[in-house]
Amino acid sequence: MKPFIHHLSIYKQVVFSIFFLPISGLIYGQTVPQQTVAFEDYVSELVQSEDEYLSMVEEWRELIDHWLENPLHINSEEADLLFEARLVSRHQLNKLREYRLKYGDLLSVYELSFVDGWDSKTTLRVMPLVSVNYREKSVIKKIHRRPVRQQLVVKTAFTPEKKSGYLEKTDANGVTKAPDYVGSPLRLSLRYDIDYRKKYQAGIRMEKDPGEPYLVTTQYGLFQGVKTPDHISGFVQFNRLGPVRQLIVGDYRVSFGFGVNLAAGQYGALSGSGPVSLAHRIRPNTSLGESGFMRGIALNCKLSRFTLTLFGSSLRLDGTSSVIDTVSGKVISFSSLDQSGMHRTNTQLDRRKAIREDMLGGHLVYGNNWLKAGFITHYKQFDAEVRKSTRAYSKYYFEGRSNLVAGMAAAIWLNKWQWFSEFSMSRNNGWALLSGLNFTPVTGANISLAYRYFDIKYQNWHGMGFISQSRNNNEKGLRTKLRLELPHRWNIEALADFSHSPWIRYNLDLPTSQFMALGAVDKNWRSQGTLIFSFKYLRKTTEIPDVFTMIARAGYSEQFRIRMEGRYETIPGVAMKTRVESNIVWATGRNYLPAWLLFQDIAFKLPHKAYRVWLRVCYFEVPDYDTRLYAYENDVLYDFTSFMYYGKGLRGILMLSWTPLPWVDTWIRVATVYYSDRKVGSGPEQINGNRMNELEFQVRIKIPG
Amino acid sequence: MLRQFILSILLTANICVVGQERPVGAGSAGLGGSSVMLEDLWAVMNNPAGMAGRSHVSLGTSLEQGYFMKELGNYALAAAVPAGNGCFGLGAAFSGYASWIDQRLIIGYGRKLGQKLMTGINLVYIYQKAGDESPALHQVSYKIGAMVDLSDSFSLGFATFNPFGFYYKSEPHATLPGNIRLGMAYRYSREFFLTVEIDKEMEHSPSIMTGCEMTFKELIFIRLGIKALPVQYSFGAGVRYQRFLLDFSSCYHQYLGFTPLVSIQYDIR
Repeated sequence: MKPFIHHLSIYKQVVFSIFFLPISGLIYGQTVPQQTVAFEDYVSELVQSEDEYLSMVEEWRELIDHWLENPLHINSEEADLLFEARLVSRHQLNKLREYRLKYGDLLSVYELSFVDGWDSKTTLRVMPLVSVNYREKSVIKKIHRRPVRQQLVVKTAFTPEKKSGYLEKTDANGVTKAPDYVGSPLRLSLRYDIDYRKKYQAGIRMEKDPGEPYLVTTQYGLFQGVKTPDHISGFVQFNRLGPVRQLIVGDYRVSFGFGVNLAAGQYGALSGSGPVSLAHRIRPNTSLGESGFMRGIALNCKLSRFTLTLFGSSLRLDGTSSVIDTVSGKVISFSSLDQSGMHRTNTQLDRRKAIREDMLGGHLVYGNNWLKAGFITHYKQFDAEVRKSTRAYSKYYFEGRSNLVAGMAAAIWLNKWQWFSEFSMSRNNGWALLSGLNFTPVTGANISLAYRYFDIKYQNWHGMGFISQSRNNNEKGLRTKLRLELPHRWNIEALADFSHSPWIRYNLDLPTSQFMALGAVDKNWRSQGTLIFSFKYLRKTTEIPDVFTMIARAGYSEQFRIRMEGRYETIPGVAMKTRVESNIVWATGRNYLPAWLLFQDIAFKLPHKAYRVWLRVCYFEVPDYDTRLYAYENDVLYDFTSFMYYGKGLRGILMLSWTPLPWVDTWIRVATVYYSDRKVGSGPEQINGNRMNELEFQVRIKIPG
Repeated sequence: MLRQFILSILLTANICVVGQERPVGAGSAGLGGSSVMLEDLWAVMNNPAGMAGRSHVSLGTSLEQGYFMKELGNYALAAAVPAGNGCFGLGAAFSGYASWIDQRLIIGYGRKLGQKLMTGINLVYIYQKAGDESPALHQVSYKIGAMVDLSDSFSLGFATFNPFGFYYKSEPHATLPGNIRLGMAYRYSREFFLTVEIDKEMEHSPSIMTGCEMTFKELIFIRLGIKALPVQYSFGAGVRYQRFLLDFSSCYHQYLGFTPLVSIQYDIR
């Protein structure tokens, strides 16, 4: 067999040298697919327009941005990262390996479309993120010439209009009160990274949100009395130290299993291309997000077929409704954690970093070509008591100081079949299970089925596992997904999800059920563009308010969200996107008017030009908060915005990026929102007018450029 | 009496939506109001990108009598002058009566960028006056548009007027609502095409318009259209005779009745 494979390999190289190399020369070294790629092309499956997902997307975006600028080497182990980032399925990754084994390394990224199991959608998404060996060799030489690489990113943003929170107020007695917000309206952030031969890496992040003071006096912990920026985070990472693959000191995130036991910045278990990997990865916290990470030491070792990940963390967090010992000044108890990261008012500053959270955990995984299985555990302890509410919905909530969660996760790949499962149990014997199957009968078809059960008693502050609500207990459900790639570049996706919560939930004093169906049909033209029609139906139990009988009466609400979208490249470097979206909600006892959103995007990135322009014009009419719509917006590098549309008006955005020198990149973003039916914002965020403008400036310095 | 009642309602509505953008031309009206995908002379006012492909000088006029009431007349003049790879357009529109005047002057330029993309921009001057005592209102804004051929059959287009709400106005209280139109056209053959369009204006819920046109020997055109939200039916026909193009159409509203439109175009080849 081997000589035959070798023969094929030579044959392939000859064919590709004839056909592809002249083409790749003409198109300037594989840069063409990158021109019209926007982050939204990757994030659309992940975000699904739900606000609770959005806080986790930032780090994922950073990853995609990084790969767009520094493509992964598809002919190396770095290809596995595509799988972990949910861009390809395990089946597709295996087929890529099989292809390389048969025919040798890929000679062009365009060759990806020949890999069995790689549909056109996957290929188009992956192509801009990867390079082949030719580029890899040149990169290695470059790295050896300049072993140290540094990057500094500074950003500022502000709103010229004064918000109510920054104004002094006069009460009925004529007494003037200080503004609600103690700091200036400026947003400032800084990121600095240094890398030595990809072996040693370090980074630091600082951020001040609008309304926060420039420097805040630390009230608790080791640095008590010291003034620091509101958010400061950093890490040092060592790679490839013998059996230790990674060692991180500082702030980091961990992803274990399928996210049921421990998911710090991990996403749901099912992506568009099937289930995600059984994760056992630690990574430095490179995000400016002020929650979801750990602080301490984490290491990842590989010994033969076993991988061991261990971590220890001690981090101070913000607690709400705290009871403080009047003698010692220490917090005795608190009801929940505030993860917003906002410290703009005196109340928020008082509870800043008031609670200490200590964690220890680990993950031992055995893996071979068809099986991956492992044990997961983590222990968590607060320095104050968690006090739950006395209301019935919180009967099974966590109470106390410490908790232990342990479980196991496994995945088996059998050619066209994949099975995955994760089990988790908390110290109070509550348990959770996620189990599913993924089947790829033929190239371009994928069917997946996943069952989840989260016990009422299950208590875990760090687990997820694609539940339909924000808490990871009190739910069981079934999800199935079908994806078909049809001839003539038609694609169909359908998803159905049923869930049931047997116990009452916050503001819902009755057992609830939910059914969700999603459908999408898209038609692609070879290079010009795509038309997408998508539909979402959501039916869920609601409570009909009845103040007289004090008995909860069940009603239900139905949501129909329809979206039509066209994305097309008009001439090289000019891309457009058009969207029409409507959200119609019907609920027992309530009348809603339909919500509408229409927008047009234009992006210019002309070949060999140092600038790029992005423009959006958006009109919206969303009469009710319950019918609100979301749309992702392009933002400066490493940042992203998902704007919530509520009200009637227009939104416009103009973003310019310019690279005046090879080592300097600059961004300017101007955004405006105008409401014809209301003032902007509410409470301290309100502006005395119906227009709000936002200005952002960002500079990046890269050495070497 | 009924006539006065309808007039009072319509004029009140008209004053509320001062500066409202409306498609011009009998061809567009026959297609239910779909205008953003049309490459006719009236693209000068409807979507400046649509005039990018014009190859000869054209002049035209359009006359509309809203529900057969002289107070609701809309009259327009347009000229398109090709220049190099693009085309300049000039338009003027008049509506109203003695107590309410709305006049517009439009200068635009449309240009082809490559084989698939047409773009255009209009500068729009609006003069309005309500009654003898109120001061005259002058406003200046702009409209941008584009049309893209996705394939031989499918095309997409958009036009947006006063897109960000930044415009010149002579009186601080004046408002000029922006609007956006997004459209799609499917060309089944050279003789038949279908359009679907959505129009969203700041103060109003979106309208959806769809229409179809059938051509016989490139001389006779038959059009049908429906506008939803609110519902309005329309039909029309056109005849080309040498350098002249005559279009007429009629829109039917279930409560307000018929609105006739006529457009005449002359091409200087």
